[in-house]
Amino acid sequence: MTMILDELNKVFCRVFHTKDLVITLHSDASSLDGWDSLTHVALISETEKHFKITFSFNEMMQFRNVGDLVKAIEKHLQH
Amino acid sequence: MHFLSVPFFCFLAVAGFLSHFLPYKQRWKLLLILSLFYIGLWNPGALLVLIFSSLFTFYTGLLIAQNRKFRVWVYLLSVTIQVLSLFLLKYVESESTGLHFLFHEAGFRLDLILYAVGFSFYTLQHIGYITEIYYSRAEPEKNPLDFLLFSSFFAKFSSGPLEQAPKLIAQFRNPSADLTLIYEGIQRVVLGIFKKMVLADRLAPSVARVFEAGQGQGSAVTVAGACLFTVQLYFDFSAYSDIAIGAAKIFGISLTENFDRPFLSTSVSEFWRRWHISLISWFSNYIYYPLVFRLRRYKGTAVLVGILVTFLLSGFWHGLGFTFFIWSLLHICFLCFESLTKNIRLNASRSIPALIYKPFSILITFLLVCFSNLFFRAPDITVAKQLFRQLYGPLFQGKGFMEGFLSILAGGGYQEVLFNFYLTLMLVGGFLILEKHLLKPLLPSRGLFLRTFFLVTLIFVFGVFKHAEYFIYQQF
Repeated sequence: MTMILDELNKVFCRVFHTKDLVITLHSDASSLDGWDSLTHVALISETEKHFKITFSFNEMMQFRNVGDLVKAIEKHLQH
Repeated sequence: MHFLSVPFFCFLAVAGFLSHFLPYKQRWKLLLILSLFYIGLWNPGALLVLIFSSLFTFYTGLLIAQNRKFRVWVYLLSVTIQVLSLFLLKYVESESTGLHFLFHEAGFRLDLILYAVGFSFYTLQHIGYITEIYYSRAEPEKNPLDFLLFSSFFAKFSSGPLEQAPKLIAQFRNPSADLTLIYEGIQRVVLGIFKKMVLADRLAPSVARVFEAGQGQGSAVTVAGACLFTVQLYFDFSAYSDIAIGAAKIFGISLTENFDRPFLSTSVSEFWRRWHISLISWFSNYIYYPLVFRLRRYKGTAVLVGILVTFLLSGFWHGLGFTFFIWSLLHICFLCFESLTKNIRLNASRSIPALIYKPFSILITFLLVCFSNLFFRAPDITVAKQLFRQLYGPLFQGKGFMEGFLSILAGGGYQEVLFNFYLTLMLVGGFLILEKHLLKPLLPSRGLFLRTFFLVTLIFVFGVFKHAEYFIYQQF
């Protein structure tokens, strides 16, 4: 999980155009400045590209924080 | 039976009283009988349309869940039928289309069949219900009576809030036993009556004078009219939502909050997260997100297409007139602009002190929303064009502040009339400042009776009792 979180941090830095961003499993739209629907779509798309996975629509609708995203990535990588 | 009528409050009191004699798990039966009675009393035709539409949706939901082979066709057919009936209802009702008169002259009152109170609200909820089942995010309901109660529940029937079936039906089956909800409900209903009769309806004549006066008004009074209408619309619709949420609470049911102090929004996108929340959630869940998800590889373009389609459909849902089309186009432009300038605005918010940046953003957002509402309120496109032209005309049309501005808004230049107008502004301003505190429910030991007595006194002293039963959003 820590490895996925580290990799995901890189994706977040790329999407948010910053090098200093440190995400945790509890990070969400209210704790990260600028995480709106536009950023959300870019995050999903970049995450899929980075981990070479494809999320379903239902999965995307259930992402409430970084923890949910990490769990979904983990599930896809196991299969 | 309208929300702001003596029969409705008698109905609410008797229903609330009766329900507390029943075991919690049996209350849904009483709510169903009362809801059907309430709608039937209002319009028997509407009741028949509602029952037919609910049963159609209920059995379609079962069919989608059980039939793996044809589920996609059943789903598409059902959505098409619901969207077509919604379109037909709007089309027949819209006098601008000409179809209205065509049907009447042919002696076929299609509007009587299709005119159904609350139709456009429960149709969206029905489409949401079968979509949730189709995408396996919800199980179909097993009991048609449960589903009928979900569609017909009198508190939310005519203008929402829009709800999701599983959440609401679970509450009907197990209403909250917390008695403080009854106090909260009564306070919310009183607050709604206050907002409607003391604030919205006192603003209505000033707004009507600006929007219905015809040509020859200055830009200042046009801007003031648009701003006052936006505030009136907020109080009118949030009053309706308060009464709906309050009435439901009396029966132990919590409905979705529809407003979250929208005039504090620092952007138009934030405004839409705080205004008519249940409708915007519906459009986000069933139009915006599915579309953007499919186009996600195009990132920014996906979001722009999502905004475009969502707001065009939202404009259509409000009405077929050209004014609603322009209103939706304006919001599309605002939101696209915000999407494209997101990083610039984020950097600006970091470099400019919040004490300056935030009030400035709130003001700009408010003015943009008011500008769009010029088209939302205008009765037709000719008036809308006239109002738009007035915006860049002389400030007071060469008449001076008193004659060209104040007396139009106040309805005359007499001291008594002006005092009345200032009083309305003071009540509105005072309420907006204290709104956060007034929305917090109080307990009997903590000033509930005092505050309720104070609000009721204000309603009787300053309330407008004429035409109070008409809510702006009931036309949609």
